[in-house]
Amino acid sequence: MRRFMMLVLAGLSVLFAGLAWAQTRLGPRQTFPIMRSAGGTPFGVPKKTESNSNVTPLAIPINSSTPDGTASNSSTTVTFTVTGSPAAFHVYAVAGAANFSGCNTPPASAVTITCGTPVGVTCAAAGPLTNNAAGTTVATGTRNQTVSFKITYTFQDAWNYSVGSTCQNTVTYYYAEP
Amino acid sequence: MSKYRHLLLCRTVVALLALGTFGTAVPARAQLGLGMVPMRVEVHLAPGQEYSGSLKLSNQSTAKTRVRAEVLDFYIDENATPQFERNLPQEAAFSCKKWLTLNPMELELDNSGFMNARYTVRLPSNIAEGSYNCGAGFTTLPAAEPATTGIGMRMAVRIVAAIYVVVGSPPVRGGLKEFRLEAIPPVKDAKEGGWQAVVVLENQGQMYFRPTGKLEVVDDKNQVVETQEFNPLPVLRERSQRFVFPLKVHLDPGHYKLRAHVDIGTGEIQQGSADVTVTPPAPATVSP
Repeated sequence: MRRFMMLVLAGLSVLFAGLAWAQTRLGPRQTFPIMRSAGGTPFGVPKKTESNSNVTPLAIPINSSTPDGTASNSSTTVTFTVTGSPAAFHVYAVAGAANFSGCNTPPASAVTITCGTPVGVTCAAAGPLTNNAAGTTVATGTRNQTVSFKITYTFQDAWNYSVGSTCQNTVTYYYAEP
Repeated sequence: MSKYRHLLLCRTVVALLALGTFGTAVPARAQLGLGMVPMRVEVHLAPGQEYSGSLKLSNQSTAKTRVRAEVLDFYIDENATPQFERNLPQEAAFSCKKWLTLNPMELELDNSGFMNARYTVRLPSNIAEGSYNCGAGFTTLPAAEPATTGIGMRMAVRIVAAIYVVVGSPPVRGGLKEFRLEAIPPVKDAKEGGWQAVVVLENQGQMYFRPTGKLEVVDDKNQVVETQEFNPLPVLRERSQRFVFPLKVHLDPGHYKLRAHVDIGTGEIQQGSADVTVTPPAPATVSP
C-alpha cells in the first residue's frame, strides 16, 4: 500500500510538472513572415512585434438599484502581452457613445474609471469615461512584458439619473505601439 | 509511527487530487482578446509605387469575434500619448491614410483562430520626399446578446498598427530645443505632488526619428540624483515633441541641472542642459 501511495505521488508530481511545463512559453512564435522594407529599418523599427490584448469579462453590470449617494462599482481585468520591445505602449479607454442607451441616457462621464493593481505598467490617474477620440489614458509602459491591471468602473447615481431597465454603453480599450 | 505516515500519505494524495480536480474544473471567465503582428511597419517607396503586405490578427477570446478595420490618422500629443483618430485635419499633409486600404474591412475570427488582413499602400506619382504615417485599426464588435437588465458596460478592444511610409531618402534633421521642470499636482489622498522633467525635441526635417539617450537630473553638488532613458517614441516630421520624465526622486527646494545626451538617429550624440529651480510650495491659505 505504501509503495502504491509513493507511486501515485510520483505520478501526480510528473503530471503537474508536465502541465506546468506545457503552460510555459518557450519563445516568441514566428508564424508570420516579417515584412522588410527595401531601405532597411534605420530608426529603431523592430524586425518583429507580437502583441495582444485581453479583457475579462466581456460585459459587466453596475448595480445601482438605490439611486442614492452610494457609489456602485464593477471591474474588469485588462491584460496585454507586449513582445516586440516597443518604445512605449499606451492603453486608453473610450466610451462607444456619449450617453448610455436603452434608458434615460446618463452620460458616459457619470462613470469614473480607475486603474489599479498594475503589473508592469504605470496606472494613470482616475478619470471620467469619455467618448472623445482621445479617450481616457488608463495605463502606460515600455519594453517587453506581460502586463495587467484592473479597471474599476464607479457609477454614482445620487438621484441624478433616471435609469431604465436596460442601460448599456461600450468601453473600448485602445492599444498601440507607435 | 508507520500508521501515522500512512495516514499522512493518504491525506497528501487526497489533497493533491482535490487540487488537481479543482484546478481543471474552474471554468474560464469570458474573455475578449485580440492579437496582431506586426504592430509597426515601415516601408520605403518611390512616388507612384504600390506595396501590399498583411497583418495577422488572432482571436484570443472564448468565442467567435467580429472585427472591424479602419484607416486612421495619428500623432503623439503633448503628454507623449499617441492619438489615433479617423480624421485629423492638422495631420493631413503628413498622413498616409489616403493611400492606405485594408481588405477585408470586416472579418470574423473563430475562437482561437487567426486571419490575415491585407493592407495596400498606393502612392501618388507627384508626392514629395519625406516620411508619412498612418494607422490600421482593428476593433472588436460587441456580440449580439440579449440586453441585460440594469446599467452595464460592454467591453471592446481596438489594436492599431502604426504604418510609416518613407518616400525617397530624406535626411534626419533635428535636436534638443527646450528643457523644463514641471510640478505634478498631488493625486487624491496624497500630501504633495511630484515633479516631471520635460525635454522638447524639434524635428526640422521631413523624416521622422526616434531618439535614444538619457536625461540626468544633477543637484547643486554636481551629483546625479536621477537618470532616465529617453522613450524612443517617434518625433514626427516638422514639429516639436515633448518627452515627459516623471521623476521618482523627491526634489528638495534648490537649484538643479537637467542634462540630456541624445542620438536622433544620425549617429551623433547631442548634449544639452538647463538650470532649473525647485521652489518651496506656497503656504496653504488659512480661512479665518
